[in-house]
Amino acid sequence: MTGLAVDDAAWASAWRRRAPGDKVLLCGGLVVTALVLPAWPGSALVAVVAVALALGPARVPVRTFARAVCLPLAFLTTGAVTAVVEVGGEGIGWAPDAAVRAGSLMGHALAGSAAVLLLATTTPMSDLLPALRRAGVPAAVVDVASVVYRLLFVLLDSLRAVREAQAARMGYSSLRRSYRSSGVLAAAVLTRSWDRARRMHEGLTGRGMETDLRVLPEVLPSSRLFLATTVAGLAALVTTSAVLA
Amino acid sequence: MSHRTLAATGLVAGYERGRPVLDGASLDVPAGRRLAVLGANGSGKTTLLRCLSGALVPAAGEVTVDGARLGHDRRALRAHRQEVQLVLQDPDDQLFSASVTQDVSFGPLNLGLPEDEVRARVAEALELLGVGGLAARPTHQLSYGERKRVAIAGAVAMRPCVLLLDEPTAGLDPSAVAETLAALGRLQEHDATVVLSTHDVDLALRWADEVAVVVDRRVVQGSPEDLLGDDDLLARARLDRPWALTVGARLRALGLLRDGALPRDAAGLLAVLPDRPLSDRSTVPT
Repeated sequence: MTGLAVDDAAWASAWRRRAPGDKVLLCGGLVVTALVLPAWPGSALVAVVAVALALGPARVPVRTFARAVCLPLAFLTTGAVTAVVEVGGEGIGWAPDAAVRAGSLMGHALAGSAAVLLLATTTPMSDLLPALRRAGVPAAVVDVASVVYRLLFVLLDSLRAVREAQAARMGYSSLRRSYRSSGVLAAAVLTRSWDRARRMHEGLTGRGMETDLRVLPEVLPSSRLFLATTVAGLAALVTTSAVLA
Repeated sequence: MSHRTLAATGLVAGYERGRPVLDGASLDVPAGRRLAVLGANGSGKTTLLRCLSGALVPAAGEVTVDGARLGHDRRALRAHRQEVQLVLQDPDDQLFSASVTQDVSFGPLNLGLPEDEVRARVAEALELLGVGGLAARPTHQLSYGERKRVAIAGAVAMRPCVLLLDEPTAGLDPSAVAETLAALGRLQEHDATVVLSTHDVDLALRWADEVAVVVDRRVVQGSPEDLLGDDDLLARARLDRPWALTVGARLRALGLLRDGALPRDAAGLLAVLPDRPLSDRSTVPT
């Protein structure tokens, strides 16, 4: 385990060997559906489907998925509050349709987030990046994302090691010491990352890097059955939403 | 892989501040053989390997391949890197990709090879290093020893004539050291010249065909038995005498070993020791 639960889930997912394009179609379709259909019942249905797929066939751990949803939920809640509060001549008050607006906003956004998380918890970055390159995203952007993703784990290890060493020497025994230790920790990781980047550049140059970081994409064949089921499922979702509405 | 003769003459090299790490260092890398570069921490082993790989430009002296001087322009370095590969000590300096296969494919793709050839080379390199089963694993979920061997595979996939390894066994447990050395043995069967730096004199004695000791900013090169039995040189280089030579010399003094080269490791010593208790013996083994 690396400490990034979403990444661990993606590598362990039962959908790990599915073509990233197939999963992008499914999750992209769910996001669009969540945004276009009314919050009730459309977005609610999308959320249910995304969570069911993640916890069911994709075998993402419940705890991981729940933790991953919590983070956007905090942002959404803050956003929803600003949407339902009105500032008028009489000061601050609730908007007349506050409950409807908050529900709609939360519904669309949560369903969309669940669909994006379905992709994130089933598709490792190393599958997505070559797909982005093939989709025409500039090579420099993909290369930077690739190195940042890799260095993230290396620096997280550094961060943990330095923090443990500080904690063992009472670096976090008081609020004041914690502030000081956190600052030193940030500085240490910054200089380490700089040094690491320099040495990594040397390592890559030694292996013939001249312009970009081209690597062999893994062959993950697309499944016609999966694609057909995706299209049929999305159509069924829209129809069900219309009937219920 | 064909053999190339890599050599350095009169190298003066160092970093921004302070006196040079190497000052007049010369080395001949024996083609198709195993060379261990020995030295204490900070003695200049890595600097020497970086000069040989072209990563560091020496202030004076030269590196040659088959007698031709190594230039440091882009074109010359590109050609040099197809022949000579350096594997850095810390695998995290080398592994940049999230997947093992993708990382190992990086070098061969930079050689401009077609995808089928790259896939074949990646599979071959991973098998040679004994990490074929890790091909589909993410690099950040590998152990340190596994990452070291994947980093070596990344260089091996480029099929260099000379492979330079900076402390490939540092930080590994005994079984990982044994696996790494076995992998290096398989590489040599593929005609590669393997150079590794280490401060482990026991490993150097049992593994190397030749050793080079970095001492006083220069290099002393010779056979493992000669150099690792030279107490004065070892003291100057802040290294210990290998235990196999110490024990072997004592056994010889006791009349338990006949003249000739001393065994290099435990297995060699056990093989020449008498198989009966001393009290049962009337003669020294021949």
